[in-house]
Formats: sequence, structure tokens, C-alpha cells
Amino acid sequence: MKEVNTSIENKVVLSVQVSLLICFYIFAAGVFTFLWYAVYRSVVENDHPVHAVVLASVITFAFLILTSVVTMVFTVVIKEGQKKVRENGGSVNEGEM
Amino acid sequence: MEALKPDRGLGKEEKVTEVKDEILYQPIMKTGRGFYIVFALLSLVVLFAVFAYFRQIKYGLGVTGLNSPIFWGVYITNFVFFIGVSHAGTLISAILRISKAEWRRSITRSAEVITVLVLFFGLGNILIDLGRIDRVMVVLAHGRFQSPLLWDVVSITTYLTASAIYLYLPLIPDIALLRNRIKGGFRGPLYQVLALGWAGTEKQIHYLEKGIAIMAVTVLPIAVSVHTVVSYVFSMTIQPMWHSAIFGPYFVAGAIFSGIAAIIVAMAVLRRVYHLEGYFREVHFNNLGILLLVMTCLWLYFTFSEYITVFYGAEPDEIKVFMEKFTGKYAPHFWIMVVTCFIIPFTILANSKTRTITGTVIASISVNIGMWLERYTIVVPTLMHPRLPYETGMYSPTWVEWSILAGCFALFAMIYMVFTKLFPIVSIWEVQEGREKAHDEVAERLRTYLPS
Amino acid sequence: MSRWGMVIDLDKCTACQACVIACQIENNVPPPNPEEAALSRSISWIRMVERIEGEYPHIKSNLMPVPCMQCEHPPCIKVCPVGATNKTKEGIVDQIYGRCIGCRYCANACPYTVKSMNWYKPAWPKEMMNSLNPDVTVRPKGVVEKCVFCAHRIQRAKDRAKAEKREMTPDEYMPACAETCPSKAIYFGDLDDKDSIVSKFARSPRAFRLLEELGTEPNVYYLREGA
Repeated sequence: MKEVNTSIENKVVLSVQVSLLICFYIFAAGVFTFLWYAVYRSVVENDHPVHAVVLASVITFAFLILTSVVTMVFTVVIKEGQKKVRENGGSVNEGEM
Repeated sequence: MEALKPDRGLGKEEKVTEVKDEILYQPIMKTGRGFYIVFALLSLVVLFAVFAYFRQIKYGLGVTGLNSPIFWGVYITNFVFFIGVSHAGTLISAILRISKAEWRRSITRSAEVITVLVLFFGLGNILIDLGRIDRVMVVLAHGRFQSPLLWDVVSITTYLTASAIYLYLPLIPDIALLRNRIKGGFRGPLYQVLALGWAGTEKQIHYLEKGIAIMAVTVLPIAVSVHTVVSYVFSMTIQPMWHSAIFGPYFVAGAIFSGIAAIIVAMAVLRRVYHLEGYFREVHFNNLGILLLVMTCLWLYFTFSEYITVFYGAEPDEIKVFMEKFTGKYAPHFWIMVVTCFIIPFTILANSKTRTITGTVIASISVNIGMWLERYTIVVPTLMHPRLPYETGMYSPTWVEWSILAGCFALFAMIYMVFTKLFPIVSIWEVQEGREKAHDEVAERLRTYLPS
Repeated sequence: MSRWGMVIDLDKCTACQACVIACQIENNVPPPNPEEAALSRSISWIRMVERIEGEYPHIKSNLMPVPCMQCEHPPCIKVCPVGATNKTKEGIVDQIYGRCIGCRYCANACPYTVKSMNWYKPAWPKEMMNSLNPDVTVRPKGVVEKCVFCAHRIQRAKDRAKAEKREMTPDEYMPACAETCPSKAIYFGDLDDKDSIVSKFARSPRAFRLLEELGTEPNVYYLREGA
């Protein structure tokens, strides 16, 4: 019974962690949308598109680095954590239940 | 490595190593009466500030002291000031981490928290300054990148994201330590989730450290760009004494300056209330004090360059603004700024006998006052002297503006206090890592520098 | 396409400020109340600027009406984050009150200080509420406003011309200040039309523009006094 409870608990925790990562992706996607929509508008209205393109490129580049770092750390730490949970039968630390 | 392995909690025989840093857990485990009293007093200040802001929303910006032609005042000063203080975390954390300075270990966390929090207040003051805050979405839907304000928007958003990540990544192993201690309440699940399943495995350690290293390098150019674009808001106009090429570097140096001062003050307060004398030691204050000394000299250099250029060139429109600052209505602000930004810090910090913890704290408080005045004397005197003759009086900030400034400081302190109750304000795993590995690493490095 | 411009003859200007009043009535500019005026917050789309030379008793006072210069290279448009101030095809620097977020960056960037901010909700004495001009938006609080060469009159002139099934002629459109000036010191017209009077005066040796060295290329010319 206890195993089932911790197993459910583990799944809930895991899903919250994954949704944190997804929220970050949504935020980054929002930033990209804002930037490139502004580029599109500036081109269509012929309103100094160079400013928009330069800034959008720089910020996109920065956010790609940030997204990669977040993805890398989150996926590795969560995956390894899950492996440990399976090894120790329910908890991340050894000898706990 | 021991430090990053999960803490088995109290109750096991080998707890001698764990008990060493027990005091770092205390703020999270226990809360004293003093905390509640201070929190309550600060919340009164914040409530008054909220009331002041509601009056502004109801009646309009007329409740401030702003007028034509002085369209910007205390709120914009606050904005620049708070964004400036946000360079605290970047300097200490990123630069010291990259330069492998071991003394940074206990102070990185408190500095990084300042950065993330204070950026919200910078952003908040800009929103408070808007005549139509209900239209703020228009900026997203119709933003024009020719305007330096849009550069601000993207730069600050990027910096906020980067510093939040940079705060969170080194926090993960510490959250894991807390997860193993605290299972119940709302904090147990919170730590469970935020620890991301940290177990201190080789792979996790390797990738976390890689992530932190990449962030340290990435956050530096972002931080430099942030205060540079804030300065561009002024220097991209053609107004006298705003249109100056030095503003970019001047503002960045000023930001690092006020950032270091902010960390020193925060550290001194934390040291006192949480009894962290073992972690925030004389050497930390001494080193930060020396950095502050360097920055005060740099500040003097930039300020001197700026003003002597204006004075020597003697361009009529600029000289009017210059004289207003030197001998006119803003002379008190200007000269108090010089005293608090240079004379007081320099005299205290240049002498190692006065560069004690108390000394550095006094110098830091003085610097923060001076830097606020510096932003104020940049914004207002230029606006007071339009190029065409214009009837202009003095700008007198009203109680609304002062309340909001006080409220910003109070709310910042409150959120910081809440953070110290949830997460360790000193990075436990980094201090433990330093204790275990630093000695050998530094010895190895020395061997590579010195001839055999 | 017309490029609307103004020429103000300083020899003819008597500084009577009829233009200021006319502008106020035409454009629903709220009248200043004494407390706000003391704080230097009165809104004036065209204002009389005084420059005093010399020392008393040998002073020379120069007075000139200063509307928005409607620059060809407006510093205010460069800095607006949302495009609330923009340039129409006919050369007028426009102000969209519905988009303005009230950041006042344009007001700070303008070297001629022609922009005003609505610090409070604009208010008129009850009796004056009936004389508001229905062609002009009454601004809400929190937005910036300025002279737009009475651009609403262009629409009126175009509509009238359309109803009479003809093209609009340039002299059908004139801002309130130019129309009211008792000494006819303010000329208005199409600067791109080489035969228009503003075009001829703009090329006169007496013609000068304010702060020319800044490169804003104003479309408001002044004719020097003391010919």
C-alpha cells in the first residue's frame, strides 16, 4: 500500500517537475513570438526593420542558450533522479521509504 | 563527493560533519519573534505605498510633483537605481566563479537573490511611471524596436530569466538537502518538486556544474547590456548633458558600484540576525571593501571625465545644466552625491584599519544613498533646462513618490526575508565542497603557476 | 502629396496670443487652473516664447509663437515605444491618443519642448462643456498631446470637396492659429508646391528655423524681424 502511495506521489512530483520545464518553454516561445512579430511588423510598415532584426537575433541567440542550459540540466537531473528512485525502491535517498 | 550526496539528516552517528553547517539550516527550521515584528512593520510601509499608488491610479500622475518640462523624476530614478543594484549578483557570482576565487562560496547565494528580486522593482517602477498602465500590453502588440525603451524591455527580460536560472541551478543541491530534512507541511512537497530528484550522482553533478559554468559566462554580457541600454534611454536623445557617449560605461560601472554596496549591507544584516559570523567573515567584507574602493575610484574617474568635458567645451545649452548641478538648485544633491559616493567611501576603505565590517557597511550605505542621488541629478537638471526658453520651476517630489520608494525598499526586504525562510541564504553544498576540495585544487593551481 | 508647412512672420506678429486662444478652443485643450499653472502644468499646443536680451533698461524682448515644428526627422518619433506618435504621409507628426501609454519619452526627447502631458483628467468649467469641438478627441488622463496642425480640418476639407465632387484645394485647409491671427502673421500651405506662399517665404533671405543645427528639419519657418 505504501509502495503504491509513494509511487503515485512520485508520479505527481515528476509531472510537476516536467510541467515546470514546459512552462519555461512556453515562456521562451512567447519571447520568440513577440520578437519576430515585432520584426514582421517593422518590415511590413517599413519602420526601421534593421533595429528589430538585430535585436531579435541577439535576444533569440541568448534565449536559445538559456533554453539549452535549462533543458540539459532539467532532463539529466530528473532522469537520474528517477533512476535512483527505481534503484532504491521509492525514494531518492538510500535506506529510506 | 560527500558534499553533494544527500544529507542523511540528524540521527545518524556520522553527524559530526553535518552539524558543522547546522546554523545554516536554522533560519529555515525556526523563526524568531524578531522576524515577525520586522515583517509586520515593513508590511505597514508597503500598505501605505499601495495606498499612495491607488491614489495615483485614481487621479492620475498629477499626484506626483512632475510637470512640464520635468516629465521624469523619482520613478525613473528608482528604475535606474534598482536595475543598477541588480548587478550585485552578477559581479560576485559570475565573475568570482569564473576567476575561481574561493572566498565567493558563502556569499554567492545572498548576492544572486538580490539580483533577481531587485529587477522586479526596477520593472515595477517603470510601470508605476506610465500614464496608462492599463495599456501596457500595447508595448507587446505594437512595440517599436527603434525606441530605446523597447531595448530595455527585452534586455531586462533576458537578464531576469538568466539570473533566475543562475540562482536556481546552484540552489538545486541545497534544496535536495532540505528535502531530506523536511517532509511535511507545504515545504516538503515544494522541496521534493524543486529538487528535481537530485541524488548527487556523478552525471548529475557533472551536468549541473557544466550548466552553472555556461550560465556564469552567459550572464555577464547580458548584465553589461542591461545597464548599457538603460543608459541609452538617456544618451540616445539629443538633450544637453544626456547625449553623452560615456553614459554606457558610466552606468555599468555605477551599477557594479551600487551592487557591491548592496551586497555588503545585505551580508551585514544577515550576519547579525542569523549569527552567520562563521560564513560572512572579516575577509569577505575586506575583499568586497577593496572592490568597492576600486569602484569608487572608477566612479570618480568617469564622473570627472563627464563633467570636465562639459565644462571645458562650454556649450551654452550644456553649461546651463552643468551650473544648475554645480552651483544652482541641484547643487546640494550634486555635492552630497560626491561626498557619499567618493569622499566617505574612499576615506573609510583606503585605510585597512577602518576597512572593518562596520566601516564597509557605513561606506556601502553611503554609496547607495549617493548612487540614488547620482541618478536623480542625471534625470532632473537636464529636463529643467530645455533648449528653448520655457517657464520652469523646481521639481518637488510629493509624498506619493516618496511612499512608493519606501514601499519598494520595504517590499524588497520582505520578499528577501521570506526567501531566507525557505532556502539557505548561504550555499551549503558549495561551502562543503570548498572545505573538501578547494585546498587541493588551489595547491594544484599554484604548482602550475610557479616554477618547479 | 502635400507637405504641410507654416511660415510665421515675426515682423507682423504682435504677440497678442490670439493664436494660443484659438488653438485652445479649436482643439479642446483644457483651460489651465491656477494650482496646476503654478506647478507649470498648463497645456498649450502653441505657446508664446519670450527671450530677453540685454539688461534693464536697455532690454530687447523677442516674442515668438512656437507650435509643433512638425519636423522631417522628428526626435520624438524615434523614441516612442509604441508608435503613438508617428508621421503621416502629408508630413504632419501625428499623435494617437488611443495608443499612447503615457511614458513621456517623446516629451523628453523633443528639443523644442512642444509636447504636453495630461497629468489629470482634463476638466472644463460646466459652462464651457457645450463649446467643445466635436471634431477633436477629448483626451483621457495619462496621455501626451501636442499640436497636429489641426489635422481634423484636413478631413473636413476633404469630405466637403468629396461632397462637391471635386479635389480639395490647399487653401481650404488652415489650422486655427493661422486662420485667427489678426495681423495675418501666420502663413500656411504646401511646402512642396513651389508656387505656394509658404514655399516662397521659406526661400526668403529672412527665413530661419529654430535649432537648425540639430538636423530635425522643422516644417515651421520664421521670418526675421527688422527687415
